[in-house]
Amino acid sequence: MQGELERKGACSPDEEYVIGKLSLSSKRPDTVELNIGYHLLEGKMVDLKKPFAVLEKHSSCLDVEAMDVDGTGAENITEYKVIGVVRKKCLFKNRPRAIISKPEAATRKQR
Amino acid sequence: MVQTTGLPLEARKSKELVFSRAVRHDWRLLEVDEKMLQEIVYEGVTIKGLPDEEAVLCTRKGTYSVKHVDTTNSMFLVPPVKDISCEKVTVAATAVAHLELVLTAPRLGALDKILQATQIRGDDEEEEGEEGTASSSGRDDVQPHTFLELLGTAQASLQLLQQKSSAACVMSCSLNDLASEAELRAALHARGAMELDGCWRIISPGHLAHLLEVLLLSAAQHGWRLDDIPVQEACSVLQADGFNPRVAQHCLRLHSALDASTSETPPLLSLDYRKVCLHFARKLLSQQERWPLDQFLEEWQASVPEGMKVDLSMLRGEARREDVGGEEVLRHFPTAALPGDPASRFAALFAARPRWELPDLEPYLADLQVPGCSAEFLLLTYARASQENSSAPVVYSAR
Repeated sequence: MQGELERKGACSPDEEYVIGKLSLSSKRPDTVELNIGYHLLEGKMVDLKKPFAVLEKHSSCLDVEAMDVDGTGAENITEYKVIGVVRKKCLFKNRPRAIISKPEAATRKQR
Repeated sequence: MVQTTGLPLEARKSKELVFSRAVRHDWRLLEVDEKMLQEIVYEGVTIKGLPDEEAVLCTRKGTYSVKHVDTTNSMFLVPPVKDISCEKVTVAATAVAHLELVLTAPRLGALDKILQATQIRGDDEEEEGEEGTASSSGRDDVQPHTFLELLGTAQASLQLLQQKSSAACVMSCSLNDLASEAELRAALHARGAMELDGCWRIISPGHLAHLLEVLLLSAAQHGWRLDDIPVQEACSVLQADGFNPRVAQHCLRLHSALDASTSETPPLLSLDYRKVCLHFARKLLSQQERWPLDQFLEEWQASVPEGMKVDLSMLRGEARREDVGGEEVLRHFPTAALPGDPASRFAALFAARPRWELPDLEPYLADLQVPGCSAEFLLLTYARASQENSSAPVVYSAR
């Protein structure tokens, strides 16, 4: 099962935006439920085989005084800072189930 | 799809999943193993590459190419929260791709260009050894490079930051040679480079040959034993002849049995007979394209210093034997002149000779380095093995 969540276009990206409701399943304790509009997604917590390092890019322009590298006076320094490490993910791998009771359309899941 | 270090959820209580005020799309996810993570956090690593080239990541010991992998699923990053009772689960960033690291051979094309352009040559004033590095390198405008310049990390900062519970660190980018520190050092030693006035340079082949011969002459003159050359004395004798003593000492080291990576030079050095004989073989081989084998061996033996015995096995990876009309001839075919990547190397080998037996082929494969690939694997990949009958030797030909 593959897919992505798309956000409806109109709203400003600077605002906080509600995707859906997240809860632990009442029947199976290891299952996480994500409720988006008419759809219910079931996911499981999984340990990543290899962790992800989360990188954030930082660019700065530094003056290089004594050290003249390739004849350029100033050099762009780009650094990636590791701002976190991801070791677990909650994987929603099943097709979303439709539920009828709660009309609350916001975002939807696509193939 | 939702990624986290543990969702802050409690039983029987639902929370809103929300995009944070400014969701980030520019964070990169780098897939690492624990060892690499430690290396990044405690040592720092460098990402290098040119705009139209695949980037590589260098640790102190290895080089990895960085692959961009698109994932078919959206990934939401949920940072850990301090307060588990918080009503919302906030997505700080989304990602649709991650980066993977694959161990790779260092790319040293630029290194060879710089070393070629800044060779220590015999006929200019830098032999005085006092002019320093500024006057060197003749016609080219390339200046000799220090180790850090070659490594391209002169400005690399290896900061360590602590942020929340997770360790953070800095990776810096630069655009020079695509190799790690240890690999660069090994490559410099393999190329016979030396550090002169802070810069790494090689001695031009012509100058090196000249130095060696003057050295051998001086040895005969002063009665030094070739397996016990007094380094200090030899260098001052060569200095009197107008050679830079440091370059002379390096020449001695290069032709000795000394491991290139040891920086110390003992007071007495033994010449490696194989290296000295090889020098004279090269000299002969460069004089004429093909040598009848017997004649070559005769002339070769005559040219080497007394007490040294030449042997054809010394020429493995340097020359190859051919059968021309029933006569055995020797032809110069040095490994150093062949391309460095496996595919082109095999193409060149099979262009020179369509069929090879393993003992002849092996020396030409010894320096090919592809992480995770043995010589056998390379043979399987790039050559076809065949055997005429069960007692005949295995022959390798192009695929």
